[in-house]
Amino acid sequence: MNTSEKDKCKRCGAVVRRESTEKLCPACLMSGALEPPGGKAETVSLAPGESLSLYGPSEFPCEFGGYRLLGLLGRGGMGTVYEAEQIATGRRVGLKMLGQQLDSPDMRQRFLREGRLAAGVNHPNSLYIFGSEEVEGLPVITMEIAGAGTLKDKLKKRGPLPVTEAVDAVLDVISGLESAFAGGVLHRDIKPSNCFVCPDGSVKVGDFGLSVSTLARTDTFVTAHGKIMGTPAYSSPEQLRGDTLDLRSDIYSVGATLFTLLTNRAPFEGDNAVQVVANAVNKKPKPLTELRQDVPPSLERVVARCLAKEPDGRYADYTALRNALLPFSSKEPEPASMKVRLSVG
Amino acid sequence: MKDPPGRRQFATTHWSLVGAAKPDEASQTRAREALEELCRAYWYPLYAFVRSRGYSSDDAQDLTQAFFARIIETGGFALAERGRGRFRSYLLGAMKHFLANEWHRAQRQKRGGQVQIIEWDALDPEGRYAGASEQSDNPEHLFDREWALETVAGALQALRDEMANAGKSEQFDALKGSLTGEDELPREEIAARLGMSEGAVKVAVHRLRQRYRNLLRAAIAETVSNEADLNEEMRYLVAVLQRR
Repeated sequence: MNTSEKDKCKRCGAVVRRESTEKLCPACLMSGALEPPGGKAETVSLAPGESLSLYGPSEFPCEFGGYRLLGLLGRGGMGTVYEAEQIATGRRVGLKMLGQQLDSPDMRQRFLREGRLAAGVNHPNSLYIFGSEEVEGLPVITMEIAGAGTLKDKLKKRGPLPVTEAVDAVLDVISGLESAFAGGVLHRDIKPSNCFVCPDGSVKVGDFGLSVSTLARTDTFVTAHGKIMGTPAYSSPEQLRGDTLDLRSDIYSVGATLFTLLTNRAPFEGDNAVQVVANAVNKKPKPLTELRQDVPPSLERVVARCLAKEPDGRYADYTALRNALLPFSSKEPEPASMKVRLSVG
Repeated sequence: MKDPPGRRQFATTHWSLVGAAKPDEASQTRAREALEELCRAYWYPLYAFVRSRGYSSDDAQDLTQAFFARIIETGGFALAERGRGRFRSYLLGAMKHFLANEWHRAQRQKRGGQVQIIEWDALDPEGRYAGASEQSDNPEHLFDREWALETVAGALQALRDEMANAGKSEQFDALKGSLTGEDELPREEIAARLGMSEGAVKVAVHRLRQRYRNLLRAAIAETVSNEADLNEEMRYLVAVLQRR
């Protein structure tokens, strides 16, 4: 058996061990068989009561598979994250479990995809995913812990951030997204609560729950059902409309995040999601300088360009956006762009 | 084409038979046979697991054999959650338990003419393991991955055999790419090569995919206890195969 014959599937990235499956990707063979003959969505649900007792432990520490859960870190769109210790290794990890109310085959699929996509990204500004696995019948994702909460927590504690600090944080986010994009992944849900702060103040992008591989033209289990939607206040108009997305959609969300870091409010607000969506699609955001006097007009223009309704009106790539932001940051332009070239190339 | 698998199949799948075994002799015998068949089908992932735990090839063969003999003799020892759970998880859990607690005892009993479930001479365990061993340095991941591959490859082989028996090997080779959702060649080219109309190729592709789907689902259904578990298990195996 010749292991050098191994190759990666161009569609899903799985390892194809050619000789055992006639050069066909085993993962695609299996997922093809998941589709019912008519191509209709599966509607299988979990058996009542299955594994439910495992959700939401109220007392810590408690054991869960090979992990000791130490406390609750947060609840997100996709599930709950616990601080945990891998008993065998003593390693501290974030253990993300799918939320009970969301437990459907669709969501499980989407959840496991997060682990798979993000596991391909290895960059100092991207929260490292150790892997996804099934523990006691539940899909879980194990990930690095940044250690100092999220940018949303920071805003809550301190209010609007100083201009330099906000721009520095967003430059970190850009580097994380850029490396993900170089690996073929769009994030699609960038917002302050998905940006994780390290004790040294640097920021890592996490929560690839809505991420999509730029290589896959269609995503059989998820987008086929039209269920993917980001957080309306931070989603690009094209994402809200359900159009095809490219990296400029993430650039929009980066702009919306920067807007929020500087003002402690999202660029578009409303009494409900429908109103937020309508405003985001139709209205111009309030000029930053109206909300905060110490924002330089040239920085306002950068944010406004990120928030352009049409992708063509935005920065074409992360390098352009980074260059536009560097003058407002504490970071040195030269080393930053060198680093990027190295990590991307 | 046989019936597509449905809820019905779960009345008699191997793993559900094992879980539902009653104390009467006929039921026990059926359950034992079912368990034996399952063990024969999945010896390899288990062997790979034992090997990657550091046992030599000889030890791993003895161990796997002794393990199968033991679970079949005892009707699946430590089968605490009968009817629940999946054969894959059960087998891995039982093997870990066996390695930790029962192996030495089994070694001592071995002299007394143990049942040989696996005939190693007909297999090439080391040849296969050599190809697998660098896939993962985590024995459990390796086990899951080899399990998933075994399932996918087994159904593919069954389909190939069926097509060959029907004199359609050439068609299988030309169309098998469609099983992963993508044709290797344009349909017109395939049609020309097979001397079929494009419409006929389309129908043949549909049938081939449907048949593969049924074969694979039926094989996996043998290892779970209900239909909900079947879909869960398949999704899990997809994730395993995509794990890097």
